[in-house]
Amino acid sequence: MKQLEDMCGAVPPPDPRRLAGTRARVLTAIAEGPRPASRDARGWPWLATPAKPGRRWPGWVAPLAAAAAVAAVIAGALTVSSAIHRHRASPQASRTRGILIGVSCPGPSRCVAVGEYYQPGPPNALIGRWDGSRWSIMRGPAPPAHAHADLHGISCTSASECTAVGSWTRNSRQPATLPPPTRTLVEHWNGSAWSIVKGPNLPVPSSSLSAVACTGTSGCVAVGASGNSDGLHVRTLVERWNGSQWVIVKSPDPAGAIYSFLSSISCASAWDCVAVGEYFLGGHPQVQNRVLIEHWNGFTWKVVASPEPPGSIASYLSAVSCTVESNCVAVGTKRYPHRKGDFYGGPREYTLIEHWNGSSWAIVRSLNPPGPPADGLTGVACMSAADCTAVGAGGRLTPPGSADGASTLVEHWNGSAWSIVRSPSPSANSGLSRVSCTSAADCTAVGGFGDLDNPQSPSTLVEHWNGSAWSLVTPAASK
Amino acid sequence: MSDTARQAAGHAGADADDDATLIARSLHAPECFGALFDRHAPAISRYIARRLGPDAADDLVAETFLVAFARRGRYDAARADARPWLYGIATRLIGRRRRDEVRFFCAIARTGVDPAAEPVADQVTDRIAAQAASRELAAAVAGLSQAQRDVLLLVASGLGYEEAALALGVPAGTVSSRLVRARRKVREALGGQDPTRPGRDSQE
Repeated sequence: MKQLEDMCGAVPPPDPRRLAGTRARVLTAIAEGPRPASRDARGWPWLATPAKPGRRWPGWVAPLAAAAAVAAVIAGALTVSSAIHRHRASPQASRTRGILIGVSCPGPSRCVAVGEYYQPGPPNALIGRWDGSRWSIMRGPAPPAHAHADLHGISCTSASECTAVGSWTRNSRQPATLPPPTRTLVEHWNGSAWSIVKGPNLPVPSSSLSAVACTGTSGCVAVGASGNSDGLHVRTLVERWNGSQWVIVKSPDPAGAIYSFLSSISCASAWDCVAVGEYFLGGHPQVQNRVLIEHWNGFTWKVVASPEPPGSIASYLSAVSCTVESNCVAVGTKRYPHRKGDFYGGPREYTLIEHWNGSSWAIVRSLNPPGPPADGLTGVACMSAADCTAVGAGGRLTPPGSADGASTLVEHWNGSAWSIVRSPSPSANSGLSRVSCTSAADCTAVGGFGDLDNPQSPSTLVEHWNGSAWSLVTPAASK
Repeated sequence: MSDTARQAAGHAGADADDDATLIARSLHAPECFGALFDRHAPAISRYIARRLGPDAADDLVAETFLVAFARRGRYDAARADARPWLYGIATRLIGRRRRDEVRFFCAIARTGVDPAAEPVADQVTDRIAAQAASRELAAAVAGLSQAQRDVLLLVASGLGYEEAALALGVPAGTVSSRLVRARRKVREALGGQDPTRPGRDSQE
């Protein structure tokens, strides 16, 4: 194609300085981490985050009016009198472009959710409260100077007793190849104010807490990971509140793992906790994450044997819920290679559910909605052995050239089988991160939603189950 | 090993790794994606500049690599060369701006000034001849369908049929048939001259 090749060949190489500027923009965005419509509590954006619905990247543009309107109501912008971390207050914060990552409901009509809100620059921690009639933003403590905070998990034992965990990161002025170091963050709500609780950190560059489970005012356990900022040599991290201070509890890692990470924890009692996550052995690039389950017997943590989905190239667990010592349910995602001839490109991802019967873990048949195989579960809440609710996101077909889409996904266990429960999706890119239930007729799920043209700028999403149907807590403007 | 030494070792390894290995490593060490950018961004930038002009290239190159980073978990590790994947992402992003692209080529056809090209000749007569050729060609390219233009410009940018097929997510046979139709249209627009074989008329 001589003439055409000439035409294309006539284009000069890009200006190295401009290309270097573009490179810096890309690496800065990578270092700041993804801003998806939904997310589980794996708090480290620089860790492996297998692509899945709701993990979107393209650039930031102004939010849709619809998204802003819904977010404003959810965030209580019409009623709220204060902002988030007080030194981070901004007009953007009051509109709550962001996502909710964790939620805990200590009683009917009482929920507290945590997540992050977006403004130019790094995301900041977000705490919202549901008082039975409206959501409002809670005033949080200021993070350390020149740093931003992320909250990933929360556990409330009463309306006046909540613990939230996450990490804080020193702000970086220069685009960096490696993300800056992070430190664990624990915040406590005493019924009238949030405060930062001093916690331990291992002598490694980065530590982060993903989830926390409290069984009373004197017993909380938080899980996460610590390691190098490059995402290698990452180890599980467990911290425990002994009634007076947070201390690090020794936790095991699978033999040979390059990294291992705990995403979620659930305690049936102070002497019986289960934590789930993932680990990676390295080696062949096609073999990726594997399921990790650990058990606390009141004295030590131990890795528990867990089944891997046959034929999968990757699998991980994002959430766990235990009602008693002999009944736990863990949910996550399993991945299979791309199948030649599939209309949808890339590997296939499906929901994964495992059940603990008191003696062993077993994979339970889970469902996947119709549409592209890009499904996953990120949250679960069980009220009994015959009543569990799992939430996440399912793949959604979008026009060619658009970003991948996602719809909210809710599944329910009735004691014998899982079924998909209809749930609203305010936009073509919607997902639920976590769920908390106080009864069979009262569950609250949180997440985010965005649009395909601006998938990097989602808005917070809250949905409620009243025993017969899921609904948006605040009406979403149609998109 | 110190952090600095490990980073240096990592970068040295990145230079030697194929694209699939780099992408797999970036799942756990995101900074490895910088090496993929260094390797392919210049060519992707030229491809985008050819289709939308140099001003649009910076933003779209950044967007291409951010989309690629977000989807790296879905990359088929059996494919050592990531060019078709990256060109495919860039092509889909260009597709969202198809009106801008048509306007861009129409402007070249109207004015003879190609903002994406560097000066090709010092002699005034050569320059005029080059402008005339580019005007006709730009008008012809502007008249193609989006799918035909995708195929034509991917192949003209150096991708093979199989690679273009991978980039567009269509069978190689579809690339071939679209290319035949695109070349025919361009040839007709150029008064029978085949842009693939300058200096003589040709038949498909």
